[in-house]
Amino acid sequence: MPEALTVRRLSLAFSGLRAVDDLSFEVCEGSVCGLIGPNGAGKTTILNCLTRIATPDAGAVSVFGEDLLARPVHALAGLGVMRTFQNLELFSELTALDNVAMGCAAGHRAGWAAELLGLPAARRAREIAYARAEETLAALGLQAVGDRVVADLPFGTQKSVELARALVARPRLLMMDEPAAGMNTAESAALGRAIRDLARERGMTILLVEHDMGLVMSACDRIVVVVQGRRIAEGTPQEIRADRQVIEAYLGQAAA
Amino acid sequence: MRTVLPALAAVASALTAPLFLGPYGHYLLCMAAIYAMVALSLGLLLGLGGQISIGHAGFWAVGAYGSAILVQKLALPFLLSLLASGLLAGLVGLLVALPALRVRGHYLAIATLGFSLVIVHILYEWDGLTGGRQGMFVSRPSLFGHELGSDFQAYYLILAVLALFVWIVVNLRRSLGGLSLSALRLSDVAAQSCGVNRAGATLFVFALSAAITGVSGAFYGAILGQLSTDSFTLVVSLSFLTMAIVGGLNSVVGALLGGIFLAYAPEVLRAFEQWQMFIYGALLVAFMHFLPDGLASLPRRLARIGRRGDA
Ligand SMILES: Nc1ncnc2c1ncn2[C@@H]1O[C@H](COP(=O)(O)OP(=O)(O)OP(=O)(O)O)[C@@H](O)[C@H]1O
Ligand SMILES: [Mg+2]
Repeated sequence: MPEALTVRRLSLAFSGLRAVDDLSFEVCEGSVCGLIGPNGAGKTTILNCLTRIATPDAGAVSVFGEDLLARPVHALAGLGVMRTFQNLELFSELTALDNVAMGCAAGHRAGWAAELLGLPAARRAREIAYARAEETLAALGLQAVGDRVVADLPFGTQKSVELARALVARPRLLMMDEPAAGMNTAESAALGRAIRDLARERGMTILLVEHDMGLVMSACDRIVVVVQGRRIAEGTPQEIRADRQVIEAYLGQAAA
Repeated sequence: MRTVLPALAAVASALTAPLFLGPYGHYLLCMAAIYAMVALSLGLLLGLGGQISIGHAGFWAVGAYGSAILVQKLALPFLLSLLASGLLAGLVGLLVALPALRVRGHYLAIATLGFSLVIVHILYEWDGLTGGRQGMFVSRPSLFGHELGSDFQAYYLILAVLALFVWIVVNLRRSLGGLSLSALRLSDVAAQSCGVNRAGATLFVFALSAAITGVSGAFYGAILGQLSTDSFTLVVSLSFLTMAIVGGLNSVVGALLGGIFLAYAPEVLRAFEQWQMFIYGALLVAFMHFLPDGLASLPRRLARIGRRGDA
């Protein structure tokens, strides 16, 4: 299968601290790839580099054959790349529906001039975006919270709203930063099934950063393990579970 | 229904109010509508876009002098000069927005303040064009060659242009573009990840806000009949901010209330001339603290308190 995401020799240092260190890996289209490692390993920083929120010091990233680093951050949605954030980045004062509509707003917009004049094109764009947002909220069982201000919702619901905001854009590549944090076992199992369905039924490529090993092992096709910004292992869940280095550096401590 | 009836009542009173007032009342109504345009533009920039400006007196000056010079020296019709002064102020707004692409908060406040001081200084020094310290005379507003000799007549033109701006702002606030500006204000990282071009949106909202304020300035000069750089000081920029916040940044109603507030406040405060600056400052702080959404949010607040009282 063709590669959806290729990362080559990516490096980023914060005043001497090598958060990402000469990292390479690739993710096949339609597969689920786990990115795991201990706290502070650099996982979020890697996602930030892959979504143009951080700019790496060195390296190359291509997404569906496009050179990602040549593009500005706001161009990624158009390439079909969406993400969620470890410490929620919702539009706190807006309703859940507004938040989700924002996920696909840029693709539908009719332009400033049409919007100022209230032209039918601008009104239709808004209707389409909101219809899609409602559909996506309903698919996640969230239709009841659509008109609630997100800041007033429980943490878990906020996470789901953020996921809906990413999904409404029908991304080709979805990156999730610890989606299961704060979930119980049943919820995390359901999330695992949902992730598998997205990959299998919609052909979505998923990069999953997660500490919940049950979820990672059951949902992922392949797993990349990072420690101190370096890749120490890469393979199928079975291979990773059996990898001595991984057990020493991460899994052993996670199990303890 | 709940918004249609009050809106109709507001339109009806705006249209009929001059019939019950004398010339000075007409003048104050003109000023209220002129200020309301500025409040509307600050609502866009600060309320929707989350970008501070304490230099809006600078855009006001660009519009006022721009229009006056075009009418006086180039004999441009007043309506065309309105358009031109809007475009000119919008362009200057683009320039001022450049620092906003890099800095925000206090730094942006200082950058916009610096800009307005520079503008006023240039206008002051350029006396061949602006009359410098003597100031300049400005002709009355006119419409298709007919001079609007009284403020009664001018008021309806100002009101029509204000209505146009209200319509534009309401359209924008209801659109995906307005949603994108809100998103950018609340989390610029997430908004950009959703495809919002931060630089483009910031430049746009600054330029639009400056353009509306520029047109307001053009009316101001024409109603006053003369211009001097004393009308565009830091105190004026601050009083603009105060009015926008006292009225309420997040609604058109707030902008209209803000305009009325700033037009009538000097009448009430006349006895406290040297305290004006202090009073505006205190009002600004008090509203930000106790009624952050301004007078426009008062009915909603009172209703909530009433409900709590019932329970
Ligand atoms: N903006 C920043 N400035 C300086 N150091 C940073 C910055 N962001 C991250 N770091 C550091 O880089 C390292 C990697 O952080 P990162 O957040 O990417 O780790 P992580 O793998 O996501 O950890 P966790 O599992 O706790 O979320 C950490 O040592 C962190 O302190
Ligand atoms: Mg992290």
